[in-house]
Amino acid sequence: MSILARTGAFALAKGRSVVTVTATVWSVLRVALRRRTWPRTTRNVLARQILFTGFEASRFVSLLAVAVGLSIVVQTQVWLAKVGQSQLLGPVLVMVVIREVGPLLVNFVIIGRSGTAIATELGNMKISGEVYLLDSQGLDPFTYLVVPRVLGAAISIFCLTVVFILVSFVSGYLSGWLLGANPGPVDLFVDSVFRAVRPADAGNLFIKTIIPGMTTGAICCIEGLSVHTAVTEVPQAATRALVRSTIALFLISAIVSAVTYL
Amino acid sequence: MEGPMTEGAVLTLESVTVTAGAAYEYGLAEVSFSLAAGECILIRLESGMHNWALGDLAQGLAAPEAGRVLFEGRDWLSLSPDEAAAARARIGRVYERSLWISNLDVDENIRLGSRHHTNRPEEEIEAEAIRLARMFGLEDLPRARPARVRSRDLRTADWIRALLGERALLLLERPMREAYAERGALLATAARAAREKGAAVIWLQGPGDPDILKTLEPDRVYAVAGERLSPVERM
Repeated sequence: MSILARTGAFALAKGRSVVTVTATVWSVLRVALRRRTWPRTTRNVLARQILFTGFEASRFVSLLAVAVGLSIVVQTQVWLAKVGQSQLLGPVLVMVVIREVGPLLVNFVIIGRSGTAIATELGNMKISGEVYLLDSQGLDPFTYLVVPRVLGAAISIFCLTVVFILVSFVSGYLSGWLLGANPGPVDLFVDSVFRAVRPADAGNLFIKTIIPGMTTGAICCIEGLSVHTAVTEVPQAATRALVRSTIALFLISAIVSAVTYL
Repeated sequence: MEGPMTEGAVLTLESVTVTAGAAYEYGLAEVSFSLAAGECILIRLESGMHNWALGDLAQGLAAPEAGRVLFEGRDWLSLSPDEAAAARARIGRVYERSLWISNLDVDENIRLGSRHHTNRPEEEIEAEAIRLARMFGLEDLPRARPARVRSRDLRTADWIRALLGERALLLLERPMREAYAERGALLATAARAAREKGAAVIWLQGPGDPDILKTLEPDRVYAVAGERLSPVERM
């Protein structure tokens, strides 16, 4: 096969993959709006997914936020004070933590922690006949397995990002105060942050958590359910899910930032 | 073999053919039969026969290469996914191999279908499941992950899952395999009770399985010969 043909085949394969993921996300949104999608069993799966992906990850995400607060927020305070630009504290923090670092780090954590778990779980379910069993009992695997996982991942990432931002700002202010970085009165700090937040930032935060969250959920479900018969396919599917979710995260974040702020 | 009689039938197979291959170890060749509400057929399997396509065909999970499979008068292939799911909810099945959702306890597995497809109160579903468990000689529903339950108790739980709720069809694929042999008559009695409520029953019996003919009192008995069904005259 010529280089041109190989390049074409590669591009077509990637294009098909993007179409599959987009179609899955769209189908999840469409199916989720139907009332009959949500019997008590599916609601339970959604609750369990949010518990696992959101609640159980909150401690780790909070620890990460404290670390970010210690490094980024304190450094920003110190250096802006040194150059006499303390009034820029709010805009810089909003630009760094709310627009980029918060959504990106939380998405990373969820891809590594829950994304691979979803792909592995569904892969194992497929091999052991559990997906077949659901179908046989009249439980649509898409409705019962995919929809709650995709929505659960998106909701969890959004909530965890809000927690991350709040904890990083609080820890940053407190550590700055403890380390003698002179963060100023708390009301001024809060005011400078709030004044720097624009409506576009709220939209940016929402889109950068919900869309990558749904995309991660969809990719991990697709990879997990693409497993056929061999147990050895499961770790391969989990690895593919990790890599593709990470690539999708960076692409979506870059596109959203470009569209929102350029 | 008698021809299919689709009117008012719960399940009808019309000259159904499925070739054995990667999906199924044993296929069907031009198999036709019809099963009305309350009817029961017993099918005697050949020695070593497993992974037969009949169960999946009856549930619309596999499409025949030739012929038609009708559930309550409608071809499975003509149903939308939602209609097919609703139809499958009315079929109770004991699977040939042990199949369970591994991250749910056995009692949750048993209640899953009823909880998903109906608005029956939790207590009512639980009470019916416990009543069935006691009928089959268990003190309570197994409340542990399937991997932690003894295979014989798991088989009994399989029976409970198949019988729980209102069923139009019971597909019992070698239900006595790995089961307490002395409890076979209890299952046959439960199947008869289900028939009295209007369920049709297909019981697949392996060569080594206990004989439940007298208790079950099937309307017809077939034997698998090659990939065809041939009627068996009862003494």
